Amino acid sequence: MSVLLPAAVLVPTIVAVVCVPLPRRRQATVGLAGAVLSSVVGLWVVLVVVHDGPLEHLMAGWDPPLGIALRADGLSAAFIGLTAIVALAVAFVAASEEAATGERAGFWVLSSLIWAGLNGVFLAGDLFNAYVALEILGLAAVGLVALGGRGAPAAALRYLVVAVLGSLLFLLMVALVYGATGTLDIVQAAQRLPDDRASLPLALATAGLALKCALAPVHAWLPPAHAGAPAAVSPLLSALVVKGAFYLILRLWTDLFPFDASLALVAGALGALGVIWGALLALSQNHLKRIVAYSTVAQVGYLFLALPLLVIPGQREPMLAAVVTMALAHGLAKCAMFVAAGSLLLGTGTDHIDGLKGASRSQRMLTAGMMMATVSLIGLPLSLGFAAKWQYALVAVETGTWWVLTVLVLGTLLATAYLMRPVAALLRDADDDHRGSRVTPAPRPRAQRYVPVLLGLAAVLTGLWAVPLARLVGIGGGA
Amino acid sequence: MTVVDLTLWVAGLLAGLGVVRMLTVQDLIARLVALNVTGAGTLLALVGLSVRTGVVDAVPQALALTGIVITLAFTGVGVVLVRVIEVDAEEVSGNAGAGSDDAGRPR
Repeated sequence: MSVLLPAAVLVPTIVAVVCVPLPRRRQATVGLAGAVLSSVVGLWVVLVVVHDGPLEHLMAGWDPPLGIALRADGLSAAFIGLTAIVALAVAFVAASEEAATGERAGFWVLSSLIWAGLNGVFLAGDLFNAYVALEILGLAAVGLVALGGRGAPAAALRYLVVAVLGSLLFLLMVALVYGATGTLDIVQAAQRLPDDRASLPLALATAGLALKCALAPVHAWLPPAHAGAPAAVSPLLSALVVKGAFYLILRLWTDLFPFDASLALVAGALGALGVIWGALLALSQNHLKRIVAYSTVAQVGYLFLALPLLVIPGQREPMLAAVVTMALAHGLAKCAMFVAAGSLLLGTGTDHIDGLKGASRSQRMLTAGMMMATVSLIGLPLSLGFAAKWQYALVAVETGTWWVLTVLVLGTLLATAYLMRPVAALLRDADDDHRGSRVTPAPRPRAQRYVPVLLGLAAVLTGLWAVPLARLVGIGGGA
Repeated sequence: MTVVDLTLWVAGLLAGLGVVRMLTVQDLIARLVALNVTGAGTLLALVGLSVRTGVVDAVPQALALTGIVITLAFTGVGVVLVRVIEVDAEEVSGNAGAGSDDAGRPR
């Protein structure tokens, strides 16, 4: 069964290679078939982990430290499952219309590489392997950003610089850990790492990965990159690529390094800044895709807000489950929202909020999808977003960490404000003031209409299964 | 000060200088070069760590080699992007006034 783990990385890689020589139209067929296959492998990994517990695969049968291990525990499985669902949904959207994949060819190759890079990051049992997978992920994401229209190459170059700088900081951490322990294997390094040599590498890696996650105040690169990307690219970037870097933060904090309360406080404070500042910036935007992109900055803030709670003794397990739930909720809802926004942009030629007035009349499904995603992103009761925030709040109250509770409440109010603006615009009947100014987008392909509503529904309804999800995250943890 | 210490100090210096230059410079090629200098500093740290134990350790050297390949990859991507940006900028300034032929392009 452990052969599944290399397969999860290799299948998308092979799809990417096969797509390279094909003409653009054929790439869509092959890419979609490959996406289905990659998704099956990914979900299979999740099933096996749920059923039989953590998996380990030693490449070519060599034991670490000589060989390289791939490992899947509950934490990896949760993110692999998210990737399998979101990337498959995006593949359907991309195959439905060529314009959704940008002006230049290359989407299918790069998106498959992103998939391979993500699975590589999630399964890496070895620090250097994690670094290489992170670089593949970053370079493929830069390529995808560059597929956008005017201004996209500049945003892509900015992203490249940020992503590479983040990786280099991560690499410095790898070097320091190797210098202190003589091994690159995460499990072995954790056993040998002396406590007094842990804080510098942890700080370096957290800073580098925070840069790649767009934690405020280093978030400025994200909105132009994510909002300017084609319709099928923005959901991948916001829902998945950001999570790749954040997953490594979780992995390092929980498995490799001893908890560092002061660093966690700094990260949490910056997360709080991101929640508030990102929301305020989202409020000041008038273009739908930029609102959604700034909302990602705010949501990333929530992820970092979990760190100061995570390091409180005894709260490791509930908070790990809560932060993963938050990441999954954001992944599903943000994918739904970016697909809907991109589809409206393709259908109307604008994503200015005023240009979308009354679009719900002809685009009921898209509007429904937007609303579902909004419900989960705000964190209204029963949704997955709510389950995550509720867990944060419970831990914050139990440990008396009141400032986190304040940030949660403020962030929720602000999210309601900035997310209701586009929804209100879609629902508004423009008939009363300017007769005939109601927007009727061009008909949208079926995949673009149904993907947002399905993912949005998933983000809301999975809230009912938050407890089994927490159990999944706990598999193989707490060692 | 031993050779190892010297290597690590130089590595830190290079990485720091590269970051400062990268954040302050406007020219795109210069920024890419600064990023390379930062990368060189990081890789030098890897090499420096490999000689810290009496016997030279080959693993960090292999890592540095992989790092060099990755540096090459991102530099290549960066140069291509810089070229696309500059060509686009020239097109915009060249077409200003004269009826631009790509007005019908989406966005």
